[in-house]
Amino acid sequence: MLYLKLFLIFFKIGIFSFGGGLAMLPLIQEEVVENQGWLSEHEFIDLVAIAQSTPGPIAVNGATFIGQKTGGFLGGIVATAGVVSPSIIIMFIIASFFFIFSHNKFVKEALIWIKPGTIGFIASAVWFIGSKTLVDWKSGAIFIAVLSYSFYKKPNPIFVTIATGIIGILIF
Amino acid sequence: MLHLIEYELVEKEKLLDYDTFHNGLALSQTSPGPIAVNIAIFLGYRLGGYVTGLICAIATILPAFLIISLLTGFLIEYSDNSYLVKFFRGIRPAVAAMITFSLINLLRKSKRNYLSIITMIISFGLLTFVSISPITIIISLIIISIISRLVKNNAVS
Repeated sequence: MLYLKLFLIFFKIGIFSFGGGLAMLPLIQEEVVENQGWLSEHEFIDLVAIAQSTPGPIAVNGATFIGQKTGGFLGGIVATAGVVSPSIIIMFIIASFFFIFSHNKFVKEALIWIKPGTIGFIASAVWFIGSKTLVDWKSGAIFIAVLSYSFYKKPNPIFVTIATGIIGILIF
Repeated sequence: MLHLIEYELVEKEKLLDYDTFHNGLALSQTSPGPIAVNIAIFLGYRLGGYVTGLICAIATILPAFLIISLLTGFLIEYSDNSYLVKFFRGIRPAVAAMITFSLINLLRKSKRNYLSIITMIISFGLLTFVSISPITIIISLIIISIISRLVKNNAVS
């Protein structure tokens, strides 16, 4: 049953993703690209591009896209519901027992360990996407140009996406 | 997005005070799942209980859901179009650059000590070169944190 599978896989992604959107990428990649084969490696990178340049949380964008691609409109709804269900359950518990969680020593200790771990996750996503995309000198030039521009001025992802897309049409 | 939530709810509408927002933010960053959705649920719940929490969650998701729904149809329809293929070849290295920049910023801002740097490197290495599941790494880190906390408790008493 595809819909149940979509829901469960995105539920799993939702419940194990700490540290927000980018840290979630290796999880989505493992489940969706490697285990299920719903997206190719390039489609996964394109999804990251789409998710970064459209408003809203990356997890929601990703779930909607992958759900729709594999199971149509209903698939999109089911995958999105799956990825946010853990948030709904966990945040209701936390909001109800607010004071227990906000000063809990075990929660604080867990964060001390998980935070650097998720930075490692983002580094891994950078490594993966970099190794798959920087395959010729033109791609390398776009990479260096965007990175240098970012240090000069905080980039607007929508602007960067459209500009580099047009450059792609012109030079490839 | 988070600044937008703070502006709308705390400064403009005065529905919440500053402390509630920042406690909610800290907890939302702590919990798994998308941070914007987490904080919407938390603040919604504080304002009006479970139903409001749920409505806020759906409202946060809906714009992203609708925009992606429109885009997906278009992208599947024209996936073989040579212009679109080249468009995506152009943006892939830009994506690599944007997340590299985010990573550099995150490294700059994060607290650094031997322990956190080693954890970072080990998690990166296991995930990238040994292809250990990210879920296994998260669970291992939680177990390590429990052990570490228990050791600290014993050391104090």
